[in-house]
Amino acid sequence: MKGFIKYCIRRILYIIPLALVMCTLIFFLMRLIPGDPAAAYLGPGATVEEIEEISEIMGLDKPLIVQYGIWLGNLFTGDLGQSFHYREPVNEIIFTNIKPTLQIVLISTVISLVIGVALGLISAFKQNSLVDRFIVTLTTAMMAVPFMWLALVLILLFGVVLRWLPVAGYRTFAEGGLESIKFLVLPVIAIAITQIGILARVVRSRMADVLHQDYILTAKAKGLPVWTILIKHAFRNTLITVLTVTGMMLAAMIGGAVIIEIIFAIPGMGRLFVQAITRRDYAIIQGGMIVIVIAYLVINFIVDILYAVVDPRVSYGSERR
Amino acid sequence: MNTDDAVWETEQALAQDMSIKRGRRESWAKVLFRNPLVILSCIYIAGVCFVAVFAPLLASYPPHYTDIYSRLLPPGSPGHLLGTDQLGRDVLSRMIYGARTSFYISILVTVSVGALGITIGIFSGLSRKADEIIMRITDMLMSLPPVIAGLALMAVLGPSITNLFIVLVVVFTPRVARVARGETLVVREATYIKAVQSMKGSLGRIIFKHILPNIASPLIVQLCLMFGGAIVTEAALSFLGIGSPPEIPSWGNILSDGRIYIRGGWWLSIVPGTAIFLAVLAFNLLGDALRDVNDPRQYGR
Repeated sequence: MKGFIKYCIRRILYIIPLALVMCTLIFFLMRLIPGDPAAAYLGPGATVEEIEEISEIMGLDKPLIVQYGIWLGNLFTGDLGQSFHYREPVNEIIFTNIKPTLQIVLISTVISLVIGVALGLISAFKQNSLVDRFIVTLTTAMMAVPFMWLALVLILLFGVVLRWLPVAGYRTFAEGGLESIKFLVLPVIAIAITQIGILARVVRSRMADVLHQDYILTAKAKGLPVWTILIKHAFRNTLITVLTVTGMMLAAMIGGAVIIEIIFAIPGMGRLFVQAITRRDYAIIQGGMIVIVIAYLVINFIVDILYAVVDPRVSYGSERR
Repeated sequence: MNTDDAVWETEQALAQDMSIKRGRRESWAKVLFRNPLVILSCIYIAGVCFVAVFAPLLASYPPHYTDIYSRLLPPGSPGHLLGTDQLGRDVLSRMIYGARTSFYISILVTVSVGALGITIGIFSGLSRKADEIIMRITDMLMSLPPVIAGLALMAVLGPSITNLFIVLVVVFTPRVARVARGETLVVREATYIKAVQSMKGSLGRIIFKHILPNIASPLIVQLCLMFGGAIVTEAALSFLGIGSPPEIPSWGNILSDGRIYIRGGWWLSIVPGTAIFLAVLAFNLLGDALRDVNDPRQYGR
């Protein structure tokens, strides 16, 4: 157990400098965006005096390194700054906008995991059967489908032709109740399909490898029931792979959700980003990217910790349990 | 007899040993083309490449030719096989020019990422000191989802084909470098590398004659999958308004432009989307087939 805690601390110590470097990189990258944010904020009719005044209020007249110092100091207290456009704290804006994005990403993850793993297991158990061939063909197509095209096809089919589901928009659960689920069906399907394909294929090939191992033969020779062998012995060993894929999947889905939100006009991080870029609203782009980077690093940290929980062979470095 | 000759002789012996093994197998081309889907994939890829190269000869209209009187004509209209868009531009002609942009970018990105990623990966796999730093940098670059990284970089650089290329290279290189490094780490410990080292084979010789051929197959597969990935990422960035600039048609920006007209002109998004889908599918199938050819465990299954 002591080793385990040490391992956790080591992973955290690895993440902190990484997060710091990323934040610094993002800060200076944002400063490279052409155009003066004060001028963009005031619009084309602004006078030089007005621009200077606003620059002073925004703190843009200070040397870059001072701006960076102030910004980093605020960041440590969890303050992402003030949006030039909305005149509201970035924290609040991101907090309202991240909810739909998180909702889509989390629902898609759960659905992909359940369906993807199930398809992969069925495929592996019935290897080279008709079912297996069908699943392999299906998942090959799923992996190749561009999700934005799929989203448009789904809109055309279920929204425009059949009129079963709304073509775009978003309701929170408080606003729409069960109706709000209807707005999420198409975006979630569009994002999840690719991930289901990838997961099913990975689980299938890993299971196929595991089922050829000696210990499976031993278990069979001992006369254990087939399902015990498959679930307790074989599937346990594919969990690691599932974990790795889930970590990568989440990163891909955050990117996917941004695009999907644009297509379905969902007021999430994607729309916020695109609007912020046209308005040169540094604070929002910066803050949004930092939230995503940190979320990603935390996800990776959790995946690493879960590795150690699932697989006792993962060594914690110097000592072992 | 100098060292290089000794190395050469050992290599010949090893090659002979390998060829005995290879003799038992069928030729890789035979295995590859046994699957009719792979043949179809190759035909599609070759077809799109052909269309891309000879675009000006094949397209019946220039890509920007607008005819406001024949707007949103459905596919099959006389003179417009795949219909026209909201400005009366011929969709087929735009698709032909779009193939040029999409494939040009993807080929360029794949080749650059391949060269850069493999070089960095091998270097990282061989040098313990550099490894630590390089892996931290790739960790960092990979801690942003591709679309978000693209969004930030394009905001800084501004939309143009060159910048799009830079963004895609930055996004994909760490992923290829990781695979190359992992494979190098495995190969590095192999007995035949130790053998060449013990005979004072030069580092260049080890890298080009021993490491590169042995890590090539997973990387070729990776690059195959990446080709499709580059087309899709370009399309995804187009949806954010930061793909290829509007004046240069690509499959990605034709698809993203078409989304507004989904009710009145479904073909505007279905046609480019299907072209992208088939391209990704073809490269994935080819990649899968190449993996199966290179993976001896797959034989006999």
